[in-house]
Amino acid sequence: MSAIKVVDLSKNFGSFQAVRYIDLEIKKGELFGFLGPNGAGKTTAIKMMTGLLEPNTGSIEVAGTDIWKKPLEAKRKMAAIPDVPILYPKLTGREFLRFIGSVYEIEQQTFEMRSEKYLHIFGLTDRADDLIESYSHGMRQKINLCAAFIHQPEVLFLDEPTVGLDPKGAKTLKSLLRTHCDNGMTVFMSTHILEIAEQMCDRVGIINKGKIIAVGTMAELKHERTESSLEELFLNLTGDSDMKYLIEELAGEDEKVDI
Amino acid sequence: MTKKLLKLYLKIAKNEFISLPEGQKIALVFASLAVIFFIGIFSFIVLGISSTLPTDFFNSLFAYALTGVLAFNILFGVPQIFKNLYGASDLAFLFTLPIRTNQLFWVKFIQSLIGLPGLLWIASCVLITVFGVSAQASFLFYPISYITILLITLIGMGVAYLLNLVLIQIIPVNRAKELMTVMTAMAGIIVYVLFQIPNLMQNNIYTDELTVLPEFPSWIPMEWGGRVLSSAIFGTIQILPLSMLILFTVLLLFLSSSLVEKGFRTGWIKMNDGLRNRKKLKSKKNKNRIHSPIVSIGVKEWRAIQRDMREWVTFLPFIFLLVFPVASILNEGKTIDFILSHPNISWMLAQAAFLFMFIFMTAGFTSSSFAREAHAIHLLRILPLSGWQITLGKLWINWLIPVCLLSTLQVIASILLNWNPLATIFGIVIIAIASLGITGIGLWLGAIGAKYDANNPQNRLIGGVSFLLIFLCFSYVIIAMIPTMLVLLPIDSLNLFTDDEFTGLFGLLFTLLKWKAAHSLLFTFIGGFVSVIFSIGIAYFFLLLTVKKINQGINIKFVDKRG
Repeated sequence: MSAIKVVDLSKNFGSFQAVRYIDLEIKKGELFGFLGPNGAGKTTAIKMMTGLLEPNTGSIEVAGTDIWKKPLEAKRKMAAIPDVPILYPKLTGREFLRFIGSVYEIEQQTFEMRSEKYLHIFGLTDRADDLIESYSHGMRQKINLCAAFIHQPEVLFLDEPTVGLDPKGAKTLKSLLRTHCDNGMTVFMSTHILEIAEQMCDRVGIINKGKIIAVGTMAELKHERTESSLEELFLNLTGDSDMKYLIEELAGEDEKVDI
Repeated sequence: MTKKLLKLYLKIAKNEFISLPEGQKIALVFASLAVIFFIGIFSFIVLGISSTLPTDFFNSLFAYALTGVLAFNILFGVPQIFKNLYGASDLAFLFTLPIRTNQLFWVKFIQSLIGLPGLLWIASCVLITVFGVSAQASFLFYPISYITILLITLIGMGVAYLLNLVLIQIIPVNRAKELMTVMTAMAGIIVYVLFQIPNLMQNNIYTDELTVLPEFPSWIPMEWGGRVLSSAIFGTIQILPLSMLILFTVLLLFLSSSLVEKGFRTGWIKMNDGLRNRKKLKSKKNKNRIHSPIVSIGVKEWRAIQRDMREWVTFLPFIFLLVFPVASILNEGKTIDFILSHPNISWMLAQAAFLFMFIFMTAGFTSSSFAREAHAIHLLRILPLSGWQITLGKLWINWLIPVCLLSTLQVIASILLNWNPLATIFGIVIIAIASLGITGIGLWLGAIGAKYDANNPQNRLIGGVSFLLIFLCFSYVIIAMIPTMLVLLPIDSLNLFTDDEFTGLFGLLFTLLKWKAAHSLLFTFIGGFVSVIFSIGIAYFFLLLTVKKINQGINIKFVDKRG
């Protein structure tokens, strides 16, 4: 059974077609990277998959449940972390976790064990009793990740999860995602950092102008084409000339600048 | 440097106007026309007053008018100054430049003066000119009156600046974001006291003559201004009060500017960095219990309310409504004696007042519930929570908080006014039941008309829905009053009234009371039953609508900061 199954999904905003009839199938335990240039339709697609935006056509199954037909059942099986972590500012980190634990009706003992574990992993134990409004962007992202892991979802959606995280936090996230995926959790992750997708993901999907233009493992994609890196592949597929120019400039020899 | 900064702001203002969308420019033109129209109407009123009022009353009249100018400047100046001092986005940049804080402060002061206080000054000058022309005032009156109004405007701004600069130093860092609420409350109290000063000084002595306006005491700056204007109208200048007024203004502004370094700069840092200050709450591991989703939604809501004093602002008008009448009753010995010797009457009147107050208060409080979620509303959509769970979670906490407040007030009143403890409990239960229905209405209104404005967090309903709230509150209170009063009113209260005193709704209530006198137990039961059914029925109906709206998706209207 697929962990995520998207069929014929589309979304229009007036005359603008943000997502154009996409099909995707992600297997259980897979870490899937969703790539695309700005405005390609990544966030719109994720919003539809997580029940935040109603599609015009198509269906989305999360862990075997149609999110738009049985939203509560589907939501119980998943967690979603947006790119901007907006939480309840007047709750402490620990209280927020308790709220999530209560919503997912986790057993008291399990909750305590998991909350302490993830707070420790993300280095938040000392700040768990501070109000969230005093947290930095990265800390909010971390407490959000703790909340997601605390109920051990079958499917985890992450929209740009590394934004705001420090290198240690990003590394922790990477190994946590790998471990959880090895244990059967499915992760659907959008990112604009190609290296992250290349290093972490089992498969990647590239979306451009609302259409999926390539899906596969890195080896498969490279085998089909001649590009040696995901960067090249991505740029050639999406035709993002500005990005291509930027990368070429950055990759070139360091220039000396007189001051 | 001050000149350079002023030039810069002038240029920014000019560019902002040019870059406004056409629609907003037209709206500005219409707003200006509306202001001119209102000034015209007020001019006619002033014309009428100046031609009919005896000259003896000019002093009092001017003093009151100047108090009005002062009150407007304090009330409207506080938020504007707050925004200029602590909320301006350019301050982070300006503080890095080699500009003295004092210079920045005066630039901001002039910026504030040119805004609403400046407009108010111009409008006041127009009105005083109309007054002068109509009263055939001396030529001297005009410049003197313009200066006097300007001085009062500066005093108002000085008070608003002092409030901003002093309170930011007192308020704890982690509460800095709530400063605006504290200041609004303080400004309200100051304005209220300003207008009450003449009454308090006269010990509530009233006469039937025209001198209904109690006079201001001679130590009040507005009275000095009144004296200056009333003599200037006849061509003479009262040097002493005018000098005192100028001196007072200068002193107040000097005091404000002396607080600049501490209040402005550190205040701005507090406002912008305050949230980063760690407020460690006591770890309550033993209380870190998992609840049901409905309970946890209520608890989450309670934390948001409990930890933000802006949330309690909804209750302020009701506290004003309670405190000031009680204070004025306490001033009169005879009334106190009567109230203490008639606990049944005081209980009955208090219940009617509480019913009316709590229905309005609960509705306003509850209708904020969805807007309170602000940007975190997406969490409610993404979590596996049903519409009913969210609605019931919000219902219980938004009903319970006003009921707790009501219970506290009832217990205090019962101790002070010798009420029977059973009657007190009875009153709490009946009003608590009646407020259930309005809680449902409030939730629905909050769901269909949620609005969030970061600069004005108390304003949480869109315009049309706010009017609907008032309409539904009145309708609800009128209908709920009949069965509730049938239960609450004692039979012997009939002795206080005669048959032909009431018509309409009160007539119906009176007739029901007469029936209750004949069949006390039966009608108390019917009243109670109808009250419960009505309240629960209304609550259920509006909760259904709320659930439907949640399932469709709640949309909060976020107000653009520039708007």
